[in-house]
Amino acid sequence: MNSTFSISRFGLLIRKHLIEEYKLQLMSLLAFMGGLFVIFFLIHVFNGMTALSHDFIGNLYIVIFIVASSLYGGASYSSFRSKEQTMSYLLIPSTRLEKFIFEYVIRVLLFIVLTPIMYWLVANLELAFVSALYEKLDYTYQSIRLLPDLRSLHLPVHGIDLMSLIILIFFNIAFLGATHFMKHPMIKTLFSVAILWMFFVALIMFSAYLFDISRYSPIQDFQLTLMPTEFNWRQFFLRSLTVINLILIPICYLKLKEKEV
Amino acid sequence: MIEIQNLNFGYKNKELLFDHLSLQLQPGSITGLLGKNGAGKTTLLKLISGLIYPKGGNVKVGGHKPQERKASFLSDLYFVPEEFALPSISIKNHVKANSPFYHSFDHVLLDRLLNEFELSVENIIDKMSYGQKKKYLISFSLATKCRLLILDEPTNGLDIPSKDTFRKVLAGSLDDDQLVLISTHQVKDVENLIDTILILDHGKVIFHKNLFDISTQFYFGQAMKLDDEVIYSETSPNGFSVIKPQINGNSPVNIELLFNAISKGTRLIENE
Repeated sequence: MNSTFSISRFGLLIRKHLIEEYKLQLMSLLAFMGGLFVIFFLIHVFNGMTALSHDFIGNLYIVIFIVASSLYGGASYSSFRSKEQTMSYLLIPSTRLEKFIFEYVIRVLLFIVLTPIMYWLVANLELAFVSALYEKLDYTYQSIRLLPDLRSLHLPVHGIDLMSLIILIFFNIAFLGATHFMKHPMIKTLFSVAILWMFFVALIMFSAYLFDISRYSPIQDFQLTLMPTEFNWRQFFLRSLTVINLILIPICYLKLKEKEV
Repeated sequence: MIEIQNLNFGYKNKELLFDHLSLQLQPGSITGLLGKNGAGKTTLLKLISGLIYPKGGNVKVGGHKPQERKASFLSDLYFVPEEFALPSISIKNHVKANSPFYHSFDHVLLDRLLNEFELSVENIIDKMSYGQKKKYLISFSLATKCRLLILDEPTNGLDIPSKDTFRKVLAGSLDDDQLVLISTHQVKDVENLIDTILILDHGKVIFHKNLFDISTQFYFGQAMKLDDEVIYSETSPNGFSVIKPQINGNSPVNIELLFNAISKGTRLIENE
């Protein structure tokens, strides 16, 4: 049997997860859908029971997706929240790579696939519910698109790649935090990210002050190019986000590898 | 099966617990790992099972480095910790979810052991008492047929009849190629069960002998008066519990007395 990755062992991990966690997963799913339903209903109530625009539904989806992905991703490696569970998790006879891929699939990929379907389903259900309840208000059922209309976010034409990378960053940071911190990983991850963010902002501001960038006027013949004149910010962000994502994933794996009890 | 050479280990911001510890354990034995609180028993078990990593030296279990946590290594090791976490499902489902990871899992043996411990496969683990959970884990561990079984304080939480059943099922369920490592404070509970004693003190192996060898060399018994032959003694309701050199054949080893003698620095046998 392969010592790095075996499909049959991976299958056993899925089977174990389904048998042991199905109740919790089902309850989480219902809680998420119930929460969404309540949010939609409250928005309808505060909106005077009028129809919500596709743009609004699309934008709300992005907000809900980011919040939910941070929460769900932050709950990865639930076994690491206690010493006893960590022991039993680390001793499951499967390789680190299998455990890592399994957790990533369950926590990240499955969420990315399932969330739009659940969102669409609940939005429609709630709309049908409201329509049935307030028929006298001449409220008619409208179908809601499966995916949010990215054009409504005023992104560049192919904004989906940038959005996907940003979403993946949220997931990967939450995932890394869950791998690293034993207790309250979500709060600690947010705090760490905030500290790092402030540190880099302070570093940039200090550097700008130190080198007096505002008075920078290069001599034509000896031009030190800090920034190209035709700088493609979109390309820059795309590449940076890709690199950050590519770095975060192996760090998550290494954290699992180093895990001790 | 277990080979430890020059093992160094210490917890963060603390002095080294194990400093050049070397040890060898062979399969086909039930070894009692004894020691006072803080002697390093659980730490050694964790190092052997790859739950923590050595700072130096080598630990090898069945040719594997435990810290690599390879699937083939983990499927041949079962660790029953003192404190454990089990999911809130029935025994039947827990077996269904976990047994396929162990290639030699013996379902017939598991049924027999559960029966001996008066447990039903329909029991919901979360609703069972600590002792019942432990009995289930012991049964599961034996049914895995792993070559290395590690039991950390297995008799904690067991009632008196269950302790007896534990000794019976453990002795009757093992194969010749298995090694059982039992860490315990309750030396009386593992008497007549273990065949090798390993005593740890302050991170050092201070005693490691086969019980048969001990019984052929030392006599464990009672005496009204102490004489020159007595190597170690303790007062008891009947006078004194004593250790003397063996004269005729062998006698049952009083593990508690032996442990106290070794812990108090009595030099019985030249050790490693």
